[in-house]
Formats: sequence, C-alpha cells, structure tokens
Amino acid sequence: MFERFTPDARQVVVRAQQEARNFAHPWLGTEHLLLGVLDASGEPAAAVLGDLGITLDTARDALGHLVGRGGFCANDAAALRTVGIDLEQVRRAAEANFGPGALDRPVAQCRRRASLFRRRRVDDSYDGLPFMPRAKRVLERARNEAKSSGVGDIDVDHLLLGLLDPKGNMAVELIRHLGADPELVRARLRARRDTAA
Amino acid sequence: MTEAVDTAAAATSQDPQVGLAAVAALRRLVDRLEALQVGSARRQGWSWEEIGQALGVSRQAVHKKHSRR
Repeated sequence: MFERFTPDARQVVVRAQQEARNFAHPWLGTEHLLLGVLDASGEPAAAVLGDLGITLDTARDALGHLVGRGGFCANDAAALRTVGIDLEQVRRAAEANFGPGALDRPVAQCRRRASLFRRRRVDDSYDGLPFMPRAKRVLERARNEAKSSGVGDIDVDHLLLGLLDPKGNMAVELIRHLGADPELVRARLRARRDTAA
Repeated sequence: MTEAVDTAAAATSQDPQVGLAAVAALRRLVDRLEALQVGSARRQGWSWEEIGQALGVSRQAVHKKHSRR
C-alpha cells in the first residue's frame, strides 16, 4: 500500500495513526493525515501551512472542536441536552464503573456495509486503523501528484497536495476553519517546489 | 435568556436541524454504551447468545457487530 512512499511520507501515515488513536477515533481520516503532515516539521508542506497559522497545535485544537474525541461530535453534548441528557453525567457514570476514558474507547466500526461476500483484503501489510474513503482518495491523489511531477516516489508535499481535494474533506475543513484558503496553500506549496526544483 | 430556557426551546423545536442532531448524538451515545456493556459482559463470561437476548437482537447480529474488538 505504501511501497512508493518516501520514508518521511510513511512517517506521516504513522503519525496520523497516532493522532487518531490519541483522539480515540476508530478511523483514519484526512484530518489525521493533515496532523501527520504538520508533524513533519522541516518539510516544505509543514512550513507552508505554518506560514498561514496552521500548526500542529492549532490544528489539533480545531479538530477537537470540529470533531471531538472518541466519536462524539463537537455539538453532541448540546444536542443531547435538547432531549434531556447530560453527556458529562453519562461520561462520569461510565468512568465510575469502567475507568477513565471508558466512553471514549473506540467502538467497532458498525457502519460497514453488510456483505455476504466479504471483500478479500488485497494488502495485508497494513494493520492500522481503517482508512476512510476520502483518506483513500487522498493517497490516490498524492500518487497522481507524484506521477505528474515526474518523480515516482510519493513525498510529504504530494500528500499535502493530495489532501487539498477540491471535492472537500475534513482536512480542507480544518484548514478553512483556521482561516486559511486551501487554494493559497496549494499555490504556495507549488511555488516553493518549483523554486526548489 | 437563561440557558435552561434555551434548552427547553430547543427540545420542543420543530427545526429538523435540531431534532436530527439530537437523534444522531443519541445514536453515537448508544453505540458507545453498547460497546462498553458488551465488552464488560464478554469479560464476565456471557455468551453471545445471552448478550443478544439481553439486547433483544440475534446472537449473530451482536457477534458480527462486536466480535472484532
């Protein structure tokens, strides 16, 4: 799955996994990949984002706000209050019986479509959290970026270009939420690569 | 306006945005509580059959949903 990735790009995926786990998210999404890119300090991709005020810290905060921990969404506490449920109280009760973070533990992904013919796993080399469809798309887009730039290997910059999907994804949402224009990120990164080349 | 009044207003709101968000949040909460309880039941030696019965679903359904954890 990652055989054409540079070591740094692989690290982005590894860090993305870690970020997802820290948020108790049972999935790997574009938001986590963005955090992985931001963690690759010293790379042009992280520098371009940093210039626009997007750092690992600000992005983590934004993700906490937009998505929240453990599969609850930012507005879930408010939404539950409208039907008379105090999420914090439920959380406290759960933790009293099952320990800290009980309610944040990953839930088995039950949304997977039931299929009589379970899709055979083509690639057994990856045993991390399941990639969300948009995150898979990002990998595909990064692959195409690498191809069209003439180098075969996918690097961290290609991953960021892949993340800036015009069709939209959570990473793009985060970038917008932090007040930056995804198009500007793309333009600056391309300019930087062109001058470096 | 106090928060209590806001909440009461929201609870009786006919705004689908508010009502559907509450349903989605409830579902997430139920998923979480179910995972917690099923895990606990398994650790205490309950069979999938017993867990399914308690949840009012089939043994297969509960096994399929939770056995991969």
